[in-house]
Amino acid sequence: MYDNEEDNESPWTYISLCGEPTVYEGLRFAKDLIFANFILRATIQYIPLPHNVRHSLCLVIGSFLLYHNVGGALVWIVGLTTGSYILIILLSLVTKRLRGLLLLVTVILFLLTCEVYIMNPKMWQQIRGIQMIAAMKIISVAMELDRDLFKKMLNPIEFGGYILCPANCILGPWISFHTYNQYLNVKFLSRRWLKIIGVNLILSMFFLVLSNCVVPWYIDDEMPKWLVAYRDAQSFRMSHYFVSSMSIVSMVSAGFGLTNDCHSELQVTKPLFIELPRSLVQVVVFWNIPMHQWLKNYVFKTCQPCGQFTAIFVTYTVSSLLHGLNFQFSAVLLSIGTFSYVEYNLRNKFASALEVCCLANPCVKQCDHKYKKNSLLAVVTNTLFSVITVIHLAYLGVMFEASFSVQESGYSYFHTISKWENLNFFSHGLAAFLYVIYLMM
Amino acid sequence: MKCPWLFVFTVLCLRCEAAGNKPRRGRGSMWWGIAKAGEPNNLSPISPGVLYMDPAVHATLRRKQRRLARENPGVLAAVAKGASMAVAECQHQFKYRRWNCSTRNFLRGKNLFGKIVDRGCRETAFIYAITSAGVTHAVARACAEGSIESCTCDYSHIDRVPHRTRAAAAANVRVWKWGGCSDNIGFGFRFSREFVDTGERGKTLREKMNLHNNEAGRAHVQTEMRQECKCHGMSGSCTVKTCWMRLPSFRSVGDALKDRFDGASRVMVPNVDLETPAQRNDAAPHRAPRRDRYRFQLRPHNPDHKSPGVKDLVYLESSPGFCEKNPRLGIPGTHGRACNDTSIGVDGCDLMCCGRGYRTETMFVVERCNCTFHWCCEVKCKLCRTEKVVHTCL
Repeated sequence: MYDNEEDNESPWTYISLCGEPTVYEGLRFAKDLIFANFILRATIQYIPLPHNVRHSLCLVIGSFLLYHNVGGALVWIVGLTTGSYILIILLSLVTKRLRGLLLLVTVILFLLTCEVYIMNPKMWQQIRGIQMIAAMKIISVAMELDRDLFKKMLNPIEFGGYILCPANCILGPWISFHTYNQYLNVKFLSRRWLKIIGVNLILSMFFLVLSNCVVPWYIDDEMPKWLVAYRDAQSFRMSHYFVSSMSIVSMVSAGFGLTNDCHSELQVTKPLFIELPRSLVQVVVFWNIPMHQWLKNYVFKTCQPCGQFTAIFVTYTVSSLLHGLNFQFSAVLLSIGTFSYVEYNLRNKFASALEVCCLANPCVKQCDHKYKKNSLLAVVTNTLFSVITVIHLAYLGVMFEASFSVQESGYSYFHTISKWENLNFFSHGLAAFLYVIYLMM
Repeated sequence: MKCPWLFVFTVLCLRCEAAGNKPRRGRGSMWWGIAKAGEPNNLSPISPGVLYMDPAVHATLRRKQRRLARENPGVLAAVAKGASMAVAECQHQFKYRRWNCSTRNFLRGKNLFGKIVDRGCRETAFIYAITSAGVTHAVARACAEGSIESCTCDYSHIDRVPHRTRAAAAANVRVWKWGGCSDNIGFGFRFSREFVDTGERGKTLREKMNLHNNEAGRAHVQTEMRQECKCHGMSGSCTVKTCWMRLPSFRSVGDALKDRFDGASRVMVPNVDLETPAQRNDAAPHRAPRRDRYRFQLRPHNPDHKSPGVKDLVYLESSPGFCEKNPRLGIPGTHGRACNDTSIGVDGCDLMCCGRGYRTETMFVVERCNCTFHWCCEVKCKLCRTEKVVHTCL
C-alpha cells in the first residue's frame, strides 16, 4: 500500500529551508573573520609600521576576534600562550636541545588536563580547534629554536602575534613563524585578491550547504547501512572542506598566503583527492596539508632515528593526543595509521610482484614497472584499492555523525563502539585480512 | 454612497444567518470550506490571485478574514493548503473509527464537517485543533518558502521579536541567535490566531472551548518544531555552529493531537468567573484588549481531574453514537464501512458495525509490487493482481 499524501516535503523545499539559514549563519561567521583580517591588512599596507608594532597589531586584533568568537574562554588560549613563552625562556637557560621535546610534552599535558579536569565539555569542544592550532605553533617555535633557525630569541610580542594572529588562530591552517613573518610585509594587492577571497567564500558556503543540507538528505535513513555510513562520513568530510576553504578566506583576506603576483599559494585540503582517493595514505596527506607538514617536520623527522615504524607510531600518537584525550579520535587516528600502514606495504608487494604501477603514492616521474599506470591491470588494482579506501573512509567517518548535543560536548567511548559495532567492525577485519595476504605473499 | 451600506447590510445578513442557523457553534468555522475550494468541481485552480477572487471562497470568509487575505497576498493559498492538509490528516487519523472525519459536499452556508460541529464533543475539539494547526503549519511553511509577500525575512528584527524567544522556550530548545528565515512559525502562529480565531470572542463556554482547542493545535505545531544544529571546526571541534528550525511533519502533529483526543478533558462552566465577566463584557463590549480572550482557565467536569493544559483538547458534552444514521446531527452511520474481521479494536468488525454484522467479499486489486530502487533516484514497480478479502458493515 502506498500513501501518496506522505510526500509533502519535496527535496528542494527541504534544501532551501535548511540552506538559507545555514548560509546566513556561515556568512555571519565569515563576516567577522574577514572584517578583522581586512583591518589588519589595511593597516599593514597603508601605514608604515615598525616590525614589533605589526606583531602587536596582530596580537590585539587576534585577541579581539577570539574574544568575539569564544568569549571568556579566551583566557585559556592567552594562558597557554603566556605559559609556554615563559617556559621556553626558562628552558632556554637550562638546555638548548630538548626545548622542543619538553614543550611538546608539556603542551599536550596541558591540553589533556584542560580537557579532563578543568573545562566543561562544551567549552572545550568550542576552543579545542583553536587550542590545537596554538599548540602546533608553540611546538614548532620550540623545535625551530632547537634547530637554531632563529637568529635570536623571539620577543613576547612576536611570539604572541604569531600565536594569536587573526588570519589563522581560529580555523588554521598552521604556518611556521618564518612564513608568518614574511607574510606580514607589504604585499602587492590587485583585484585578483578580492577574487580569491570571493571564490573561496563561495566554495566554503557550497561545502557548508552540502554538509548541512544536501548530503544528509540524498541518501535516506532506510537505505543499506553502508550507504548511510558513507553519507554520514561524507557529510563530515564536507564540513572539513568548509572549514578548510574558510581558513583560506581568512588567510587571504589578511593578505597571507599570496605570492608576489597576487596568486594564492595556500592549499589546505584537496577535496577531489579525498572523495576519489587513490589510497588511504594520500587521504592522510591531503586531509590537512599544513598539519601533515607539521607532523612530518617536527614529529616524524625528530623520531626518525628511532626507526621507521616507531616514527610512524609516535606521529599518529602525537596527532591523536593533540586532538585531546578522546577515545574516538585516538581510535580513528590509530586505525587510519594501521590501515594505511597495511595498505602501503601491501601495495608495495603487489607492485613488485605483479610489476604494476599501483603504489600508494603515484610514481613520481617515470614509473619503472612493467605495467604502466594506464594498463588494464594497473587500473583494476588501483580501482580496487580506491574502493577499499572509500569503505575505510565511510567506516572511519561515520563516527562523526551524532546528535548535536554529542557533537557539542564530545564523543564518548560507547558512541564510537556502537557505531563500529553497527558496521560489524568490518574495516578492522578487512585490514587484518589484507595484512594476512601481505604476510603470505 | 450606496455601496458601503449595501456591503454592511450583506455582512450583517450573513452574520444573522450564521447566528440564526447555528446557535451553539462558534462562528469562525466557515472558512474550512476553503479546503475544498481548489478541487476541480469548484471553479478554479489554486493560485494566489485567482483564489482570492473566487466567489465560492469569498463566501466562506468573514469580513476580517477577507481583510487579512487582502493584506497578505499569497496567504489564502497557504490557508487552503493548510485546511486540506488538516482534512486529510483528520481522515487519516480516524480512518478506522466509527466517526471517520467525513466531509460533506461543500455548499455555501453548510459546514464542511457537517452538523457534528454544532455539538461541543471530542470530535469537534479535534476538528478545531487540527484545522488551526494546519493553518499555522502551512502559513509558516509558505512564509519560509517566500510565497507570502508580507512575511519577509527581516533579519534586523531577529533578536528582538519576543514571541520567538517564548516559542523557543516552549519548544524546549536552547535560545540561539537565530539566523535565516527558518523560524516563521511566529508569523504562522500570529496569523492563525487572527484568521482562525475570528469570531470566537470567548464569551460563551462553547467559544472558550473553540479558542482553547485552536490554541492547542497551534501549540502542538510550535512545540514539535525541531531545532537542527551542526558543528563545524578543526577536526570535529565545535568552533562554528549552524542551526536551523525545522517544522514538524504534519503527520507528527496529527499523531500528537490524536493522543490528546484520546485523553481529552471534559470541561464545564467555571462556577465563579464565567457569568459575571460575560455580563461585564456585554456592558462594555470593546473595552477588554483582544489578547485577553486567551486568558481563561477551564474547569474539569470531574473536580478530581486536573485542569486542562495548553496542549490538551477540551470538550463539553459526550459524543453522540456514530453507529446509526442521524440526519439531525449529520451522522452517516457506519453502514457500508470497511472493517477488519481479525481486529478486536475499534476497526474490528464487531465494534465498527455496532453488532449489526458484516458482509465479506473477495475482489481482485491491482497494485504496485516488487518495487526496486534504481540509482538515482527512481523507484520502479511491477503491477500485481492480488486477491483481497473486504469486509463491509451491514
